[in-house]
Amino acid sequence: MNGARRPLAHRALAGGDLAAGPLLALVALAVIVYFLLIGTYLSTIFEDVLIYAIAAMGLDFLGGYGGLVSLGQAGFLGLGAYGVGIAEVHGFGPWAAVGIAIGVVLGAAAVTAVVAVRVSGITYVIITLAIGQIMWGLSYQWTSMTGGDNGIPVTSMPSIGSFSLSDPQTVRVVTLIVFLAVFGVLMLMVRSPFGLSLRGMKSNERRLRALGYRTAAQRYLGYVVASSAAGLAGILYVFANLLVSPSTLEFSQDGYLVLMVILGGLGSIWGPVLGSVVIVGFQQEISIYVSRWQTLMGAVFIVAVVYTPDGIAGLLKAARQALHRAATKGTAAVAGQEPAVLPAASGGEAR
Amino acid sequence: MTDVPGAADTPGTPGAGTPGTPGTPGAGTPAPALEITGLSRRFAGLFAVREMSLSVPAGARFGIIGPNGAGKTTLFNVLSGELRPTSGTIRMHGRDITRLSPPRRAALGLGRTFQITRLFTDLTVRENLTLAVHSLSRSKLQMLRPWRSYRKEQRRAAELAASFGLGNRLEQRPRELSHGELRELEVLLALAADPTVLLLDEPAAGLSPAERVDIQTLITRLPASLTIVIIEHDMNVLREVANELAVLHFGQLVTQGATAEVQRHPAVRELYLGSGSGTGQGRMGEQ
Amino acid sequence: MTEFIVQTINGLTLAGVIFLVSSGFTLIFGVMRVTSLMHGAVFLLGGYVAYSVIGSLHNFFWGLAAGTVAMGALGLVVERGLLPLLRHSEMAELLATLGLVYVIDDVSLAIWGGNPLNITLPGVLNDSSTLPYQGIVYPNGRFFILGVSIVVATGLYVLLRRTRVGAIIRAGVDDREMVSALGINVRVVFSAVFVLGTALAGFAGVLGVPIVGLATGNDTTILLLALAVVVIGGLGSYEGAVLGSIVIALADTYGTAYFPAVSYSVLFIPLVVVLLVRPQGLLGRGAMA
Repeated sequence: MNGARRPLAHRALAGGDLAAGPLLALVALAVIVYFLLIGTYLSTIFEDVLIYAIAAMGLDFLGGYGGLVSLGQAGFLGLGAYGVGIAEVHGFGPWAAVGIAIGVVLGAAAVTAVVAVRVSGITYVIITLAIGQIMWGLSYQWTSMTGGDNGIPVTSMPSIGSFSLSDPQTVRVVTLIVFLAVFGVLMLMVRSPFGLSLRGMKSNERRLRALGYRTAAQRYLGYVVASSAAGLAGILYVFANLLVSPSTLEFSQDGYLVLMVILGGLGSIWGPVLGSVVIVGFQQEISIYVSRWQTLMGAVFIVAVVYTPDGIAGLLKAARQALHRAATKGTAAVAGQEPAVLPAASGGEAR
Repeated sequence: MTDVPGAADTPGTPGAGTPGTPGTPGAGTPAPALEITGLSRRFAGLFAVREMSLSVPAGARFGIIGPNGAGKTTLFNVLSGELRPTSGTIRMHGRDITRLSPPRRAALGLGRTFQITRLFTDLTVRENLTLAVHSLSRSKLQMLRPWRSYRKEQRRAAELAASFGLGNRLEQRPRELSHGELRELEVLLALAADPTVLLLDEPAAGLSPAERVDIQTLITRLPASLTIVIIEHDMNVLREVANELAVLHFGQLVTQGATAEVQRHPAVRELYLGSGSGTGQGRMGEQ
Repeated sequence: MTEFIVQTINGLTLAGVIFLVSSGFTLIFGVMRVTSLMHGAVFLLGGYVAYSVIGSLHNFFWGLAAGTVAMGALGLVVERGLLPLLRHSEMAELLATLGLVYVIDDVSLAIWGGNPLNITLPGVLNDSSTLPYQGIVYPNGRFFILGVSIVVATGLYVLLRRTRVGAIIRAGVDDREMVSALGINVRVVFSAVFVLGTALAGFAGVLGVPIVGLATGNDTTILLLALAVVVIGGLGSYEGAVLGSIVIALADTYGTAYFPAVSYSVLFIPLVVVLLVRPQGLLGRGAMA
């Protein structure tokens, strides 16, 4: 793991789990798949995958690294979407609507974080569920603002020069770009000192505080980052789907996002992207052939939780380690692979 | 309470005032590193710490002993801020820290280790030390730069590890370390945050005789400017490391003074050797 | 004022139903540290089962019994069949129950469809009475529901506070390892608690139909209300569930009556307040995990 020779970018992306190579490959794959799918109906599905992946990656940031899993992530996705819709209904132009949506998401994150950071573990799950449901409740009941069950259609699309989001193709390109940007930023973040401090908080909060870390501030920041990712996804969502309604942020949506993260691999950032492929695949593809696809999806999820709790990412990492060990079999103890040899004088007991 | 004048000639206590005397030092005398006045901590009717007053001069090597349940770790928990005192005050370098949270106290220079090793078990040794090294600087909130790129901090972490025998363990996780190495890492983490006052809670707990020597050496090699308060059961370790001892029993201070004097004190001998008293435990034993 | 009285009684009857669901949830959490996110789905399924039984046997009480027993059986299957596979990882257990929500909801949808269904109470319970106060006319059924809730709540209280079994359960909430160390078969206690919890949810699901209806989507609402109750009252606390149920049910009822546009959200004000002031719940013990 000597980083001295490898360029900074490689070291940045390596971060200890997967090497830079496979990750860049994932990115390249996303771009290639995008171009392959142009013109087919699968490109719409691909777009959905990317949008939900953005929200799921945000969930993983705080959930996988900070240990705070949110069951209300869809609430912020919906908030971003409704932000655009409501702003446009009130006469704002598309760009202003986007700005307003971002502001609303940040504001709501800043406010709800105050309550959310005071708790952790299971209570955090419950609180975020409640926050998400509050947002759903507002979208459903505050009919004068949100149009209630009918939702809000969005017709006015932002444009730069000759590129306008009224062209579905452009929406897809923009979605891909935003996805790659969020992916890159989050990958950097989890390898930053702040990201490390989140992992430290998850591992042993008491010790981290004794060292001088203000864990409440860490939680607050992490929460805002995670919620912002969802809000961003929501803004893309409404331009891709041209409509936002309460079903965008109902509880099953919160559940789907958690399913994506767990199936993909909690604590990897790239895992949830694969999770999104699986879940959207169930929603859009398998649903065509299996009318009880939700039962199947639920069952698959339960099996995954029991047998592959680290998700697809976990499976891939284990495979890589197995390959590594097979390749270096017979060599002297590889650093990090064998337990330390205990000195003869020690009591020898495990900690 | 036996008062013994400060051993100003003992290495490790430069410029010390008179230990054991509570109250504001006179002009020209530096404030004690740690000063506890009338400290109490109650748990629903039981006083774990009762009306304790102590003064630890800067640079001291101050030991705390007492039988199990004497309130030693509770005292540390109150000192580090994890528990609020029921009454009393704590001053560090003259500053009242009684109401401050643990991170705030750490920022002011207070470090501590834990009796039961508390490391970041999911993280490598390097990552453990990295967290500690960044703990008191702004960089810990940096979100867009990889922590591996902080060369100065990484060098510091590697040097710390190397100087205490963990140089080739950097990429391993705590579960792969021996118990002695874990206790060392426990101390290293606290050190990496550059404290001015270090609370060591039974650093030698559960160690073999050889490992105890290692920990002892580690502690004696610590900078003289660092004030150390150490809870220990093992008198051998304390003899080497501490120049002053406080004896606690049932949450109260029994006696305090230079190590040699305290060891000869009749009340202490009773606690240790149990000469017919009901609370005697024989050797104030191994953990 | 009359309106207020009526709403208050409405709130209290709702509190009864919510309490029955929440008490099961909080016991399961307190003793087993399992967050049963499927409790709302169990509530719904209990109602559906009763609907079918009542449809064939034309007897409300058989339906009530069926719903209760069926959900207790489901609880047994989950607790014995699924939970042991999860090796006591709290997060994994929570996630597994989340997965079950999708399964239960979808199966229910397949069997009973997506339209709201109804269960009518038998005989005189279906009528209304005129109250002596102000001549208010109020449905008997609601009094019945309130009464039954109080009876069951009292029974639970007696069980927890006055019997040996209850003492074991309360001890389990306090300290699982100790209970095990005392030689008590923890496995049996766990199963019993889980079955009791799901049975209560099923029971509530039948009883509550005249108040909250029987429709898809109810499961999420009830789950949320139950979660709000236990956070307010304190996870693991029976008395907290009583207190929390009253607070939440009244908040929901008054909110719907007086602030319909935001009633669902108003409901969470008590939750937020409690979290800010006392995160472990009003009657909860110590700091929250």
